[in-house]
Amino acid sequence: MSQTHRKFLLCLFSALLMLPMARVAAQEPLPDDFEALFNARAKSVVAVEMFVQNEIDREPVGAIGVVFDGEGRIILMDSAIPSWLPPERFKDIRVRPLGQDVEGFKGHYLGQDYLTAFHFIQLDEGQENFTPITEWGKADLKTGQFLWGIGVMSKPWHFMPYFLSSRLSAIEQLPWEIGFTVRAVTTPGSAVFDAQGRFAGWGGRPSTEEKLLILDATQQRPVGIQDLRETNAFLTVDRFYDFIQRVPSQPVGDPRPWLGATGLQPLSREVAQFLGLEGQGAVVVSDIIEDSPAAKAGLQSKDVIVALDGEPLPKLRPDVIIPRYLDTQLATHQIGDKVTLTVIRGDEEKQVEVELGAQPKVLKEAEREYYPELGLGIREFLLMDGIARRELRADVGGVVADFIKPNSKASSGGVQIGDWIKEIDNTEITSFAQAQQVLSAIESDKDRSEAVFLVERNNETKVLRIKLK
Amino acid sequence: MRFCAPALFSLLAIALGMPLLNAAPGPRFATRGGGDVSASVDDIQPGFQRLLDAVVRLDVWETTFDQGAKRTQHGVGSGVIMTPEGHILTNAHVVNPYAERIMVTLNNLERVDAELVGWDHWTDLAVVKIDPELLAKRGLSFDYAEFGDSDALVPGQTVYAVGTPNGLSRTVTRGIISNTDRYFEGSTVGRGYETGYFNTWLQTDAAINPGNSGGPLVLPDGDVIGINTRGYLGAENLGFAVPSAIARAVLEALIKDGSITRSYIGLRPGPMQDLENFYELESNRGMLVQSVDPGSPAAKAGLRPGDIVLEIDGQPVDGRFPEQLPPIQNFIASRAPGETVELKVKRGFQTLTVPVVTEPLESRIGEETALAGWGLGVQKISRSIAREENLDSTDGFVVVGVQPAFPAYEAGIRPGDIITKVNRQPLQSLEELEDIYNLYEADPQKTLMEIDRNHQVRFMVLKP
Repeated sequence: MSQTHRKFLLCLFSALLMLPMARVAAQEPLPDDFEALFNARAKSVVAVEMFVQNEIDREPVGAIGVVFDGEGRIILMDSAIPSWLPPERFKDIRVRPLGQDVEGFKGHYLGQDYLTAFHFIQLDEGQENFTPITEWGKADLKTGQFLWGIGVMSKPWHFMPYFLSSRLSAIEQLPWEIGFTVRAVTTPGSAVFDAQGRFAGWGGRPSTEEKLLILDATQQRPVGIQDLRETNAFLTVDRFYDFIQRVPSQPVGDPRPWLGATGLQPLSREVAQFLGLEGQGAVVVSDIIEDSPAAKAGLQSKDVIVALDGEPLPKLRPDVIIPRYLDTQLATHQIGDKVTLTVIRGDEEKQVEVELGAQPKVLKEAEREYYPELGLGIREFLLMDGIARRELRADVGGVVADFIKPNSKASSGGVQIGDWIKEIDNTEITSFAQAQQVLSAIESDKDRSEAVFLVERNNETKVLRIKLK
Repeated sequence: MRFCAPALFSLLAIALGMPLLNAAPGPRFATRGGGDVSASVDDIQPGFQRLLDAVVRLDVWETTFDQGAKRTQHGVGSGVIMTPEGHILTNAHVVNPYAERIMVTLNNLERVDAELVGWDHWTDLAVVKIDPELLAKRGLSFDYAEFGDSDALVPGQTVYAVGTPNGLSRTVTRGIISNTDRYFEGSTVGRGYETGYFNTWLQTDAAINPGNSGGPLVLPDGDVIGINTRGYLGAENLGFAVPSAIARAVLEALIKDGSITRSYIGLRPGPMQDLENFYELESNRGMLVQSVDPGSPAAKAGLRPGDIVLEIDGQPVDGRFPEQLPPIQNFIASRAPGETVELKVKRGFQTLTVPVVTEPLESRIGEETALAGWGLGVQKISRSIAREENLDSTDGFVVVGVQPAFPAYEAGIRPGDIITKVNRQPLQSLEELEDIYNLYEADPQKTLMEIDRNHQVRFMVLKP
């Protein structure tokens, strides 16, 4: 047998050998040592547990997240932690490795990024037990590609990790790139990898499945179903790398650039056509907050914003993503930055230059105080309260009832959560500090028999008598 | 527990589906003739027979706007003939201006058509009329009932309810007066019309079921002391009737004018109970101002929440308990619109006299129509809605219904939306909207709608 001949046979032989192997690869592209690979990746995923200390009760909170750097910082989804509460209420943060019956390691809250709304946690101990997700390299995402992820069981199972796999269906800009897989591929907050174990993305909120609920032969109705433990959606790896750079500098979050225009609504295709806008996105402004950057720049209610800094707004789907896109674009600027909005007002196109300001206080920053004798928690009146009551300015002042203890004096007197407390004992309440003063005086005066509140509720006022004895 | 005239109303509709109403085979009722009610039966007195001859069944076909389309709905209720001219007193939630056809079944089982004379949703009363001459031509006769004095009632007194519960014509039930002065906070009937601000109710344990609505509550002598109006659904024997003192006045006014004009000052009262100490008042004096509608006459006159009204036009006011509030409201409402009401008001240590110029009282429910080709049901924005929703003006329309797959639905318009402009023009009246609609029907063109949804501006295009 000649050399060439032998070579040929060898080639043929190996080609024959490879044929079945190639077929297997299409079905099962995982390396032989996948078990080890899986276990190593599972060390990047954690279960975070804490409780929220409310006025009179505690609420346990738990979420899945990933460790993303050597310092032991952890990213959690926006829905993981109630973002309307002040961070000092988050107590006893514990970070638990998956699948182990252990106490968990102590951590503390770093804050929430205003752009993405993701939360960050810092491990205070036990960093060596975890591997940053960034250790695994980045996957190159392609439609149809095989992906696998780490599912995480619930607490009674000690957050046991398990294998899930699927293929990439599509990547959609919402307004940042979200990957969708054929079936559930991970747990919200856990990770997705490619066949070689490179990091492909971070599990997000699952898409809603539309199903028909059939109760019996005569009754059926369409329902939307969302899985709680598994998801088919993930934040793509490049975006994830961008967002882990956004750890806030303080638990309450960083000051956020603010335009001062509310109720941004998308224009549908028909309306855009009607207004002579084709092939681009546009949003209409509902209200302008008094003295806000938008007001100072002369932006008006019902202006249609068509471009930011000369760049036409992109056409994104669904429509509701377009105002979110504008929001996030503005949020990536700094306070004090000047941006130019191109707006259509009536039949005219105008350029409006806005110097972005700082956003007024949001819920988690609001001052709060609880008066245990009264069973009443108050919170300072915020811009959002004003918008809900058509007071379109940030300096309304005053307080709203934030918490009512059941069967307390405040509750028996008829105070309800959300009541805008306008007067106490005929004294007009104009600021949080003043309300504090009045209420502490009431709490400390043991001889008082009653307090009379004037509250505004659903646009009507009510006189409420709080019996103190 | 919820009390619900609207639910009662809807049950009327449910009762329609019941076979016994469809003139299906069943017992043929003997026409009256033999054996009048005897005075020896319990405590029934001779006048009772006359009352029975005055009670009628009402079959009403009314226009409803279902998801932006006009539909006809059939309901059954009761009524009582109160005049020799054939005026029938019933409930506003049984008969109202949306009625297309009103058919009356007399006690002798004969049927005649009736016409609406007027309605008053504030007291949930309405008057329809049959034509005595027409009846005479057909050889038919009827009797009419008389009012008793509802103010003289005492709890425990025997009463009878007569009507058409669940479609069962000529049903008599018996009970007692359980309470003479039941208070309910103002609520709504039918399509959301306000009711119950100006009266309290008689409560009875005589069985009141859906379909009894509009029928009389009577004494053993047949005198009408109330119009049965509502019941607690799911409860046993908790029925409520509008007292005859109110019904008599409403009947007279509706016969005279076809409608009742009331005054509005925009003051929401609250009971003084337990607050006397705080406001340093002697007991049984004063009515608390709970809320003042923005932009209302009371607001313009400078009244403020927390004020105590001591006197109205020189008459001392006692609003210590909730039950006392409807008569006070009625006292103000009974003024002619445009008149000045003098309120003596205590504010802190001051006592002020505040003249308030009244406005005509208006329902929060505006005129309603359905634009069939658009599949869009709209209601004119009333002053109350504009106030409740914090709207700048009453220009525009509330969307009350949309038909799936019609242009309004396809454009994205949904119930609850407020149409503020059409083709960039503000619209003041339904007629203006209908004009645009008629133009569209004649020559369909894209139409731009400006929508306010929870105070967020949206634009939507109706396409042919």
